[in-house]
Amino acid sequence: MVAGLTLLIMAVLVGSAPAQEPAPPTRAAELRAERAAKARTLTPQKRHGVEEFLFKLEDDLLVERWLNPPRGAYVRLGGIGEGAGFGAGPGYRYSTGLFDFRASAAATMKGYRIGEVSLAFPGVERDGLLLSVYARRRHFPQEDFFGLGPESRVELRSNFALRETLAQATAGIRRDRLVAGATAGYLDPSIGGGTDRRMPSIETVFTPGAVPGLDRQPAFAFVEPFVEISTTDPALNPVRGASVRAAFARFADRDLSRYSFTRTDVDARAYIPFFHRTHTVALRAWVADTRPDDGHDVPFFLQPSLGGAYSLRGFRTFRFRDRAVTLVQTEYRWRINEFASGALFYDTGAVAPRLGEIGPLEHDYGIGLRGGSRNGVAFRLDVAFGSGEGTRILLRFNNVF
Amino acid sequence: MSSDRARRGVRLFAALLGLALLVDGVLGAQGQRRAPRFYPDDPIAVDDDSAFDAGGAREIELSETFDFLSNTFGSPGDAAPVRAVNVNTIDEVPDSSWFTNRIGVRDMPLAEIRRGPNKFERLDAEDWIIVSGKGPGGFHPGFRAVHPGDPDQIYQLEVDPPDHPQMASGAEIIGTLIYHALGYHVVDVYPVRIDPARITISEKATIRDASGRRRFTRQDLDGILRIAARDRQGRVYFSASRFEEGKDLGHFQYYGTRSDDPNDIHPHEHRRELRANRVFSAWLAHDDSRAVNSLNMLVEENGRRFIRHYMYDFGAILGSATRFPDTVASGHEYYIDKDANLRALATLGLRVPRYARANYPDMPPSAGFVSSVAFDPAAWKPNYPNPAYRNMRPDDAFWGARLVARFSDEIIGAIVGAVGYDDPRAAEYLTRTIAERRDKVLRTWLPGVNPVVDARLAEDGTLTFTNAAVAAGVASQPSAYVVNWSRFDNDTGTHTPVGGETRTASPAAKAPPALLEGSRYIAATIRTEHPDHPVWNQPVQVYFRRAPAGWQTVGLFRE
Repeated sequence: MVAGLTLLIMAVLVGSAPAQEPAPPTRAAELRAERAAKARTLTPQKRHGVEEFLFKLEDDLLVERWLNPPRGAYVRLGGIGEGAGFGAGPGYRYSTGLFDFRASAAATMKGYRIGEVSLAFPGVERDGLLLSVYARRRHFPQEDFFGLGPESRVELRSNFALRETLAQATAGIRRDRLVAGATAGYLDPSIGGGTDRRMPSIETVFTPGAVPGLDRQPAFAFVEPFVEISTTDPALNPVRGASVRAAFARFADRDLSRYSFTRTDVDARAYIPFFHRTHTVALRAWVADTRPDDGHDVPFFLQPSLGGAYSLRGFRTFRFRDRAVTLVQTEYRWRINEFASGALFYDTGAVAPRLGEIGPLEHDYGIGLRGGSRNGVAFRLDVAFGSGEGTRILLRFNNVF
Repeated sequence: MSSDRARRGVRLFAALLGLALLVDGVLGAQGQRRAPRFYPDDPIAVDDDSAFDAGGAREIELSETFDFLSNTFGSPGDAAPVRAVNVNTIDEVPDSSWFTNRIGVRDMPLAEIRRGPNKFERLDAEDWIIVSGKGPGGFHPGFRAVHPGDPDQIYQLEVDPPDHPQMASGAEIIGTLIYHALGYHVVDVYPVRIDPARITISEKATIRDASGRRRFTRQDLDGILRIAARDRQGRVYFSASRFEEGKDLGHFQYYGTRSDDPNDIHPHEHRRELRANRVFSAWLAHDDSRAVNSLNMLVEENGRRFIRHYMYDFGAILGSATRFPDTVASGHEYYIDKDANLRALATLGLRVPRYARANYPDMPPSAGFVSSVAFDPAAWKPNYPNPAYRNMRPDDAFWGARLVARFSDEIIGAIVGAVGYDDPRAAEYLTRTIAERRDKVLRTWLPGVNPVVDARLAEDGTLTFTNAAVAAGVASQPSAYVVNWSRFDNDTGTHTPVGGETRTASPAAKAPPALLEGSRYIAATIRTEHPDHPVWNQPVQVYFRRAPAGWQTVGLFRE
């Protein structure tokens, strides 16, 4: 019992032991004691969980390595074509300061397929001579067609398959804000029946007589001089400045002597900032005019078109086609935060056999939300109304203009 | 018999238990005895946070994305509204591995301010040899290089954007010199101009990109020089940051402490020099003041290894965002700012923020976008929330503003002059703008507390002090100062009032003679009456201790 009591007393005394330490006599000693206590319990500083994952992404540049590395294989996402749906495929790039070589292929759930290869000198934008070669093979099996001209009807929606081989070379010169040059190439298209079972194939709705190029498709040689001037700032997501691109193309039918034509494009854009660039009015005017040689026509699949996420957003992709188009787009954009902006937009335009015959304009309006930075628009959600053909919701991963 | 023994046993047990409880009570009482309010070495001028060996600390880099996300959508650190934990008893920040009092405690000669932390008066090197790229992180184009005169010393060289010569490099110089004068540790930075033909590439130079490490090529250099501003002689403007001696351990956070540093005991969100960095950041438009722009270096001095903490990378202060000028929203909104963003979204941008409607002056290209117009120090925001800034209290801001007040127009002019702007309009504009922003900072934060400072008690009992807001010219003379005196018992913490209330129009008062006799500690409670500043009625308590040389100021509390 005595032993037990002794233990009890010792326990009480031991329990009181820390209280016996006299208070540090100085402030410095107090701080030192606190540090001494911490020195006995040090643990390695670590990143945990999400932080470690994000750090690896940043430090190893994994997103860039996976999607757009300077050298090596990568995963290609999207960029296939309007209306193709989401696609992906393998890619390979080898880029130095001297040149940029790329090769990639991709396919979508809708059966769209594309293979591309390019080589550009120099590899990055700079003043001086430009030279690039590019080739692609694509198979787009469900391209929409509603008929030609401004009176085409949405009820006649059909689809066709476009197969195409393209090889081209571009040479030019870049000087400050001016780029001028010419592209020359060879284009070998073919048209077939569409695979979209929700609508009829083109040949069941339209006759070759009404749709030039539907029955036979020649190969084309083409040359296209162009000039482009841009003062936009920032270049990839402008809030200020203007740009104009003008191009004149000559397409020569190499097989049938039926489809030679010229095409003129002028695309002008202006960005007018106000409230110190927190708000912008963005304007775009695009005019395209194709003129067939005497006795020739312009194949329907090479005629300019309106409709879709980049032109008349209230209408389906390729809703209007004809030999001439005019389009005016207006956006009021405002800053929401560093990564997001809002937009109210109005699009108007029309197609016609000739520019001088442009008649009543189609139009739509809508609202949009954009995410990105000065380096570009990463996503764009536009909701378009007012076309008379229903509400269109468009999600894209680049800017409209 | 056995029952007697049992009874004796119970009595013995009871006696011993009583003794044990008595002993415990006595010792416990001693252990809980309150610490004296003032220790003999108070107020400490130095917090020796290099005392314990930190050689076991390892480098750890932060994730920029995680830092942004955790601070934007979370609230890391302790948000308790407590007084800064690393101030001494007179409400000042002692010297430490974080901060060294400079302009706040002495008049710094202009030459010293212009020299800043720099090891050399000037960096006259003309030939440079690139030894590596900058690494995958960082937004500002540049490379790492040495010059033949000092081949073992690596510098990080960064360029200015073509349309804004000396914008980022000038910001780097100005920020470095001001932060150094304030008291922070900063790295050497020199403005240099280099003829591109004098830049060569070491055969061993490498660069890391998304595909891995490879040789640094002439094309890499051309890619940097192509987007670099040049002077009339074709030389490229650079800021050259000298790599510090020691081992790079990464960045410090604005909250918590390092678990592997025995000296790091004060939670960073409660460190005054980090809280008050909000004042300096607002003043200098340092919207990029975040953890990844700090630096921890393991250094060894006098046989001790400890971590020294640096403020780092000022290339995005003032009107610079390094590769382009700041936007008008900079300093007014976080990158993601819920209320402002919802307002903008809901009103379709028709409710235009005040800062966007303001009329700004024309700014020289070298200044970027910075102005005193629409600058509201109290509402100023960095790019995303900062836990130490969140915790800044009026007394922290007051401390910071007092340091800012030390920068006269002449000093600011000398600092801006150190950049050597080719465009005299840029130097004039930045000098004026920094001074105007300084004045706004002082008007905002000096009157935010009862601004009594520098209290002294003369041997004859005359109390003198200074009104920092009045002294800085941002407030008029108050109606009165009201002083109450007491004898202070440092052991028990009790005050015994002596004499009545003293009202005085000037910052001086006479202690009651009876108080001076036999008192070891004297306390004076000072309230300031000013119709425009009711907060000045909050008392400031100052404490004096009798010392051989007279009364020593040992305490100042703005509770």
